[in-house]
Amino acid sequence: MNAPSFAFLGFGLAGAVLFNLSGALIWRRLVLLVLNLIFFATFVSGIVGVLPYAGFLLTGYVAVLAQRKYPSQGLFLLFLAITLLEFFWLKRYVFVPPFLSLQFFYVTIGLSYVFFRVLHLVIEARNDGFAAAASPLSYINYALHFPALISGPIQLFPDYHRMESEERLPLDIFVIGEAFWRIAIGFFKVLILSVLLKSAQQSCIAALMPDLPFATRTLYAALIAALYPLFLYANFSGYTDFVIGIARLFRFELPENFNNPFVSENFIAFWSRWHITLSSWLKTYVYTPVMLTCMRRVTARWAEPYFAVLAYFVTFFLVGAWHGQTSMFLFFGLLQGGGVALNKLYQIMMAQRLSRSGFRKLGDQPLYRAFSRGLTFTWFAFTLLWFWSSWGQLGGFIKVLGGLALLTVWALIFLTSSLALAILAWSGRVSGGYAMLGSRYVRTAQVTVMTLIVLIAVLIVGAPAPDIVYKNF
Amino acid sequence: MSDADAKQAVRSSFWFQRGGGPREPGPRRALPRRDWFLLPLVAVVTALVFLIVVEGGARMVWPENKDEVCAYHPLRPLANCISHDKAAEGPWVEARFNACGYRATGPCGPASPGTARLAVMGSSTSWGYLVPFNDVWSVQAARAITAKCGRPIDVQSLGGFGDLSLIAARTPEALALHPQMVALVVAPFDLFKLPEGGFNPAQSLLPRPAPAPHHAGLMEWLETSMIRSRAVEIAQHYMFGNADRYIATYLHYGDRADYLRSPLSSAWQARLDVLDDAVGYITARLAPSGTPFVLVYAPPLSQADLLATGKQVPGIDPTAINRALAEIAKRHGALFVDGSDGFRGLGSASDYFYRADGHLNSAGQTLVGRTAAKTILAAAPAGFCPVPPR
Repeated sequence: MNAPSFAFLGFGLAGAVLFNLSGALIWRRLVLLVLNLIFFATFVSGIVGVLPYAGFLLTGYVAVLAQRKYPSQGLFLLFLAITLLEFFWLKRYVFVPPFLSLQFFYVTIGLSYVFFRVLHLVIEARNDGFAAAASPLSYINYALHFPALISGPIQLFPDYHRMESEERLPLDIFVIGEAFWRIAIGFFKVLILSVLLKSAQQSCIAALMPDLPFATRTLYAALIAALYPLFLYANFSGYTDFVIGIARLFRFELPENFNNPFVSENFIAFWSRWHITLSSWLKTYVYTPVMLTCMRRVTARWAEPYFAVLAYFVTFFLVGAWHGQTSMFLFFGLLQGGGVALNKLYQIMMAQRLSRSGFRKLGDQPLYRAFSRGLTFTWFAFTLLWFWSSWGQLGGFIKVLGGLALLTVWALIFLTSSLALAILAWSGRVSGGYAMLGSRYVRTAQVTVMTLIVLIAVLIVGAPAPDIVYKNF
Repeated sequence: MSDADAKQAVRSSFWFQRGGGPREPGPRRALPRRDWFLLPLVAVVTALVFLIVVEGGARMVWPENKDEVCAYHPLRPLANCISHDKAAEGPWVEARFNACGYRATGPCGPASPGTARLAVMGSSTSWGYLVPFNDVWSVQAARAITAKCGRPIDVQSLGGFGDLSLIAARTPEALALHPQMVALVVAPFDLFKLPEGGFNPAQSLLPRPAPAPHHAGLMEWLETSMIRSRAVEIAQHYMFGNADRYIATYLHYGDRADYLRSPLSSAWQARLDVLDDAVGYITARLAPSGTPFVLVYAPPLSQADLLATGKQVPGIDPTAINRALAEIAKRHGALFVDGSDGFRGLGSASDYFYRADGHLNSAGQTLVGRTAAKTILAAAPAGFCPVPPR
């Protein structure tokens, strides 16, 4: 079952009606369990294919139980290592020897996100607030929470558990309206916007030929690089809008994953607005421990800012590398880590040179802010080349473009995005001043238009050309 | 540094403050009574305004006229008629029909001395619906053959809109033109709709009773409105430009797409049987005069996309129908022109079709014409090439 899809929407709506029939905790938990298992089963093609996944979940649960009964650092490290190795093994990372790989098809749907949830429980199992995770029903419902199974967002257990048991969020006409608004936005972003952006990028890739004039080649290449981040945003944030809307009908508030990321004025800020739950998870479990370790070992205060550079690099290298199993993604990780580390280093140096207030003043200059946004977007678009293409394809682009065109491409993206994002940030500030734009009347109109566009697109895809050809015959 | 200090320093150094935590319950909210009426009204008015603006805009930017005042007649196009038509996706096209109601390079009387004649039968693709006459496959093929053989060729297209019974019934008319070759053009959508009452050429020429009035249901009305919407047509044009998406969509289309599946379904086998009867009927009537017959296959976008991209889809055989057609042609001693040949390896076929409409455009007709010329020249027909091609 894809998300967003009408099948998922129907499943979610039917499930929400059933879930809300009774406020009894056991009813809600059991309904959720059944829904989670049915949803998961839609991706399974046989019992054998589900065993590795079940094994991974079982390891996590044993880790939680064992640590609660025998809390010790040794046991924690053992289960941490087992969970990590099991994940790398099941996801077939490049460094796992091929002979170790399982030689049959098995389901891995959402495993990367389930991994973060399970690892979070393995790390926190000994803490008092996590006693509920030892209940098999809570554990399985949390790990396989169906709205967030496919691609997150990564919700932490205390948040989830609070809404599941203690704090029953209200579900009135306003909440239902808002949920449908998010669902409609999700459908529109994924089925319309991201499809258009991806098609445009694919058309540019197909049209990019070495014999084209310099200006045309440059324009196509700039579009190829610049359209992908927009596509990725429409696609992933659309999915997130949809599942947040669905979860809200179950009285769950999933955390936001995006917060207008392209208006960020530096790469560090960008990562606080893009895939927020992933960066937030890694903040807690990678950035903070690395920083603490450094500070405990080296007490010189002047070195503290530089620890942040190191911690940022490690954290965002992992963010990048987590996205895939090949060398492309390791390099993508290096560029993410390198980007934020350099950004931090720049901040330190500028603060030293201009003083903190001087640097802040510079940051208030409209032109500086516009170019900062442009540079952030350009760098992100550049790093994404290692996300969506291959080494061979990159070599092909370089061959077709040549050095001068390559430089022109990035200069063009930088200047255009600086201008476009300045307009976006300005329009955001202006529209923020008009409360009417967020009113339920405007939202109703917005949902109506988006729904119509989505329905028409779906009907077109469902009734292709042959019927149309004979329309006049 | 103490542990607490270190933790505080880390927290303040980080870029993102986490939210969350239990909230205070807010005041109970109620929707104002007027909104139970206003919000649905906003939705309905928005939908109406949106549909009117989008459809009106599409009609202004992409005008279309598919009335085809000359060709839309029960038996044959009107004589001495000129029509101006336009697909929303293409240019305005003038179609001139001669004194016999044929789209042709010259009059339908006897061909001038030294000029060979090609008589073309078939449905819309055969005479180049929505395509300038100079780009139609037969004219392009005739030019290429003339360039090789030196003999001018006069093209007379008898086609209009009709089923295989009606098309075959016009064989005597084609023979009366004293052609050096007769061609029949078929596409899968010509075969899809079987003639009412089976293959019966004699019956097809009789006057038909006016169809009974038809009252459309709501779903049918919706479907018809969708089909006639210009905005939908333009959306289709852009969506079908992506070969992968179009192929995936098309293959879900059941019976209509089954000519791409091997072995061919019994329904498609039945359609091919009707074509077999039609080819048999035509060749039997051409045989006494020894007029060569050529069966020309025009592929639809779905099949052309499969061949152009080289995409392998499990259970799909893009040339299953071509082999069946070649077999039919061979059985009746006819030449077979596989118009899909030119699309192989092109990368994308969408530029050769009016994607939403489904017909070949100028580029597509030209491509089929080139393949036809190559095949006909390879067969070295004496009527066209008294001396072997140069």
